[in-house]
Amino acid sequence: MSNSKLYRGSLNTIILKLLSQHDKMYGYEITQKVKALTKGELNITEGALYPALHKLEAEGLLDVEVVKVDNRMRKYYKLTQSGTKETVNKMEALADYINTMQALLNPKLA
Amino acid sequence: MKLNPAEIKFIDTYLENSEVSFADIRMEMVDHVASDIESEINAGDTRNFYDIFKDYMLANKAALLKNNKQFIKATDKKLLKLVFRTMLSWQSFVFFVISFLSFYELASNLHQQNLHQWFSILPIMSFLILGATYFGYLRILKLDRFSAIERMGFMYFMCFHVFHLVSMMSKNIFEKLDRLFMVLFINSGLLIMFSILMVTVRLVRNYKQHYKIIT
Repeated sequence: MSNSKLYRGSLNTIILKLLSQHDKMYGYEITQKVKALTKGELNITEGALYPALHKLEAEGLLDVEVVKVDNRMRKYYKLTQSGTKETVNKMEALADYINTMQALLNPKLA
Repeated sequence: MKLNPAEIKFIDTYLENSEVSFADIRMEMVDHVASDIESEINAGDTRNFYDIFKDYMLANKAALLKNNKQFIKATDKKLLKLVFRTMLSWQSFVFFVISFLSFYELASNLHQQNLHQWFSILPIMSFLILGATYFGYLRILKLDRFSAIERMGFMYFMCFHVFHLVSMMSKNIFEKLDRLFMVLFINSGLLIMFSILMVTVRLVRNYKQHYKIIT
C-alpha cells in the first residue's frame, strides 16, 4: 500500500463503503476494486486486508458466506445491519476529517 | 483460464505445510493466491503454474503468514466476547442455580476433603473426554481443523490449568472454607466451562451452516 500510514486508518471505512455498494464481495475482489478505483495508487496487501475483514467480522459488522467457485472455496463478505449503520457513521467521520484537514492544509478551499 | 483441482490442491498443501493449519483461514488464502495467479495468466503470463506460484510466494508469503497470526488473534478476541456474553445469558443463570443447589446439597453430605477431590478431578476428566472425542472425530472422519473450535479447546485447556493450580494451592485452605463460599467458588468455575461448551456447540452449528459444502 503506498503512503500506507496515511491510508491505514481508513482501511475499515474503505472496506465498509465498498461492501455497501455491492451485495457481497470476496477478499481478492476488494483488492482489485480498490486498485482499479484509485488507478493503482492504493494497493491493499493481503496482510492488511484480511486482518481488517476478520476484525470487522468479529465485531459483527460483516457476515460471511462460503461458496464453491472454480474448484475452490470462496468466502464472501456482506454487511450486517449494524455494519450498514457503522458505514454511515464512518463515512460521516471521514468527511469531517477530510474537511478538517482541508481547513488546515488549504484554507482557501475549505 | 482457471486453475485445475490439482493446482488448487498444490496451493492448499503448500499453505498447510507452512503452518496455516486451520481450514477456514487457509481456504481464503488459497482463493486469494489462485485468483492472483489466474489473473497473471489471463494478463498474458506464459510461464507454467509452478513458476508463477514460486514467484508469488517469494513476494507474498510473509504477508500471508502475518494474516494467519492476525486471524487467530481476532478469533481469540471474538471468542472471549462470546464466552462472556454467554455467561450472562439466561441458560447460564439456570445452569448456575441448578448446579449451585446440587453442589450445596452434595457439600452437606460430603466431607470437605472429598469435595476438594471432586474439584480436582472434574476439569481433567471433562477435558480428557472432550479432547479424545474431538481428535478421534478428526482422525476417523478426516475432518478439517477449524480455528474457532480449536481455540475454544485451548481456552478450555487454560481453564483446566487455572482450576488445577487453584486446587493444588488451596488444599489446606479448602478444609477451612465456609461451605457457601466453597460451593460458589466451584460453581463459578463450572459456569465458565458451561459457557465455553455452549459457545463451542454454537460454533460447530455456525461452521456447519456457513461451510456446509465442506462438512
